[in-house]
Amino acid sequence: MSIVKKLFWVLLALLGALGLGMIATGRGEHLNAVWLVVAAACIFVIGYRFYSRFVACKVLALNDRRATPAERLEDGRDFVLTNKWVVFGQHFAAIAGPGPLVGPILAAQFGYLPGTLWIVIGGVLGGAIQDFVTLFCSLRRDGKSLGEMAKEEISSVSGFTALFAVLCILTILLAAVALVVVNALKGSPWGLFTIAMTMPVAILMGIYVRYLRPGKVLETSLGGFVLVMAAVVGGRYVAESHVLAPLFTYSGPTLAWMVIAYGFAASVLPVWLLLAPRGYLSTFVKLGVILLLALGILAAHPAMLLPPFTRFTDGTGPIFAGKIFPFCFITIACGAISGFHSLIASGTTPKMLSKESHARLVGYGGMLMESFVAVMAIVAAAVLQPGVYFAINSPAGIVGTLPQQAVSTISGWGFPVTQQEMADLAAKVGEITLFNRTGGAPSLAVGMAHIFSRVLGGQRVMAVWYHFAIMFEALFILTLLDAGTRVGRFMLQDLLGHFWKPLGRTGWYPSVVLTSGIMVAAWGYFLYQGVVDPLGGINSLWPLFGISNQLLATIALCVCTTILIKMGRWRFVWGTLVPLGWLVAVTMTASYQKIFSANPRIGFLVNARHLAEQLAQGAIPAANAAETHRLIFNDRLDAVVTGVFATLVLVILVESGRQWWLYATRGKPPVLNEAPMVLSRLPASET
Amino acid sequence: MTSFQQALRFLWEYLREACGENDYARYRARSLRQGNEPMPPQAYYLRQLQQKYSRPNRCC
Repeated sequence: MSIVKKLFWVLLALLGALGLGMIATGRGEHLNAVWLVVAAACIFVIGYRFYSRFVACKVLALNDRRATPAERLEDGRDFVLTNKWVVFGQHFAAIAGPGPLVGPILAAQFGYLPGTLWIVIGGVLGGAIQDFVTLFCSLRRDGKSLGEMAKEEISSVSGFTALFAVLCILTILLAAVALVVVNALKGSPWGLFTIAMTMPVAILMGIYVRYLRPGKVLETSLGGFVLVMAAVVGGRYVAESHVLAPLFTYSGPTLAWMVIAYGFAASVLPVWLLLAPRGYLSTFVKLGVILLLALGILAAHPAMLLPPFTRFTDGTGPIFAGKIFPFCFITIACGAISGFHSLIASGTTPKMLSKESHARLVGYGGMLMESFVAVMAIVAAAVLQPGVYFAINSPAGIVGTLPQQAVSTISGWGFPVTQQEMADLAAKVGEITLFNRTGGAPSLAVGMAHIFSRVLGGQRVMAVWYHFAIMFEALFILTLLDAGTRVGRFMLQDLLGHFWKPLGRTGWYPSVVLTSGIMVAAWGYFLYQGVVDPLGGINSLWPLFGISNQLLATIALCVCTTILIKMGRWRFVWGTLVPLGWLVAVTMTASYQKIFSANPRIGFLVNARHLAEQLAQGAIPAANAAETHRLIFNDRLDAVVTGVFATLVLVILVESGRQWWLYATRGKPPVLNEAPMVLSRLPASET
Repeated sequence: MTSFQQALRFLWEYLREACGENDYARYRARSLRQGNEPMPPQAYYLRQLQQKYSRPNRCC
């Protein structure tokens, strides 16, 4: 490395250290958000340059002289040689979901620092490594999926377990994100009108790109974006209209049914009509907003009003119960490590890479970008007055249903807020109320509106920015919902096809309808129970989602570790073993606490017992008895689901451990199932 | 062309490539090279969609 380059890296490290120093030493005054962003960015860049390079060269020994499957098996369809920046863009668009936005918003109840530290450390040492190594492993195996790799490299039991785990985890994930959307749109005619309009816009786009201009995705998306922006602006008139507003104002349970119906329709309708065009729209809007947010934070350089630590590090948080360990890590989930990324990294992406060295940019770099998005989400939460943040995110069951109860409770916690303040803010953003708007999406939208309006338009357009942010979040969550339901339907059809062949035919409509119905019913049930939960569905569903996501990451890291051992990389296996060990500690602790904790706000079983005792003592009115029975059943079901997730992962851990022991004691010769080595005929790539 | 215009053009071309707008032209050229009749653009577009949305392509 030349002197100039060395100097550059030293200066960057000093800048990052300065940012961390400002965060660590700031006392009594609000930290400027730019320091957080600068510190995180410097750490990510240094991590990419040095740690990922070390892994690429020493651990994985990426070999650009070896032909990738895209080169060896190129067919212009599945295996396509693609420019690394195009692969990076497509991979990042696939992995960037609502998780890195919503999770950090919720975890900000502990203050901005715990979440930020985990995103930075976990991203560099855990999540990016998981994505990178999984991508590499799949690349060497012609794009095999995670389940296939688990089956071949560990055992058949592990392979089947991984597939079953993916289906279960998908169900909980869809329910959790659907709950975020329902909570964002309930009682919001402007928001619901905007999202409702995206459906006919998507259908128009679908017809245009299918029949009129096949494959012209960019111009179609631009046209769709203009129409959706018109809906965002037009939503104000709907909200102010005495006739139209009631048509777009619904409660949580009603909205839940609407989302369920939408999920079913999107899964059974032809993919080109609704699902694909919404996907284009949401991808462009998502990437554009992420860029806007980054620029907005730099331009507005807002002060962070949330403290680095709040009193809720004691585990009594209103948004979700539990201490920093393990629940901060479970809640952040995708912002630092996401098991779901391993499904993307072992799907299409490995079949597009032209050189092995590109896996570093796409796998490691892609995840660091996602972690950077998560840092910006923390900033969006932290620029709100703490009292406002808690007033928006705290459920009625904790702070009270009436505004005066809520402000009294929250002010009593040491976060002053008044009814007038909340009423003014609601009026500014064009909402009826912002109290008990749990789920993270409304507070993210308020934070983003606050940042964007400081840069462009001022307070007058805060309502437009707010609903633009709501539209952006709901759009890509609903895209995840319909794409996820469709994938789940395919997996179910594949499974049921083993019992009765016609059910496995993806084009047979009775099977399409049946399996779509089963998938939607599964996540729809958890969605509904979350919507009616008096403790706030986020308290139960989001930890369930976080646990399941992190458990899938555990499975991916087991596969990666096994492959590294088989490659003879015993010296470097700590690179995947350390994050694996950490994840096992976090997820098993969280699973144990969610099932057995004596705190009814944490433990499902004790809450069920508590409710059952109240019923038996006649403390619950007869009119609410049926609902209470349902709550008891749901708590027990959630405990069983958590137990099932933990058991599935323990099975794979035990199987993996057994294999590692056999390899370590030379009781079994390691057999790698890599594709044959063929020399590449492509020109050498620049490193 | 100014450097700003060049940058915009580069960005547009990158987005077109990332969206797969050039995929059909490549597929058609490949099919003709191999002596096969390429499918029409509508059929190709539909097939690409079916493939893309039959496996996990969106994350949480």
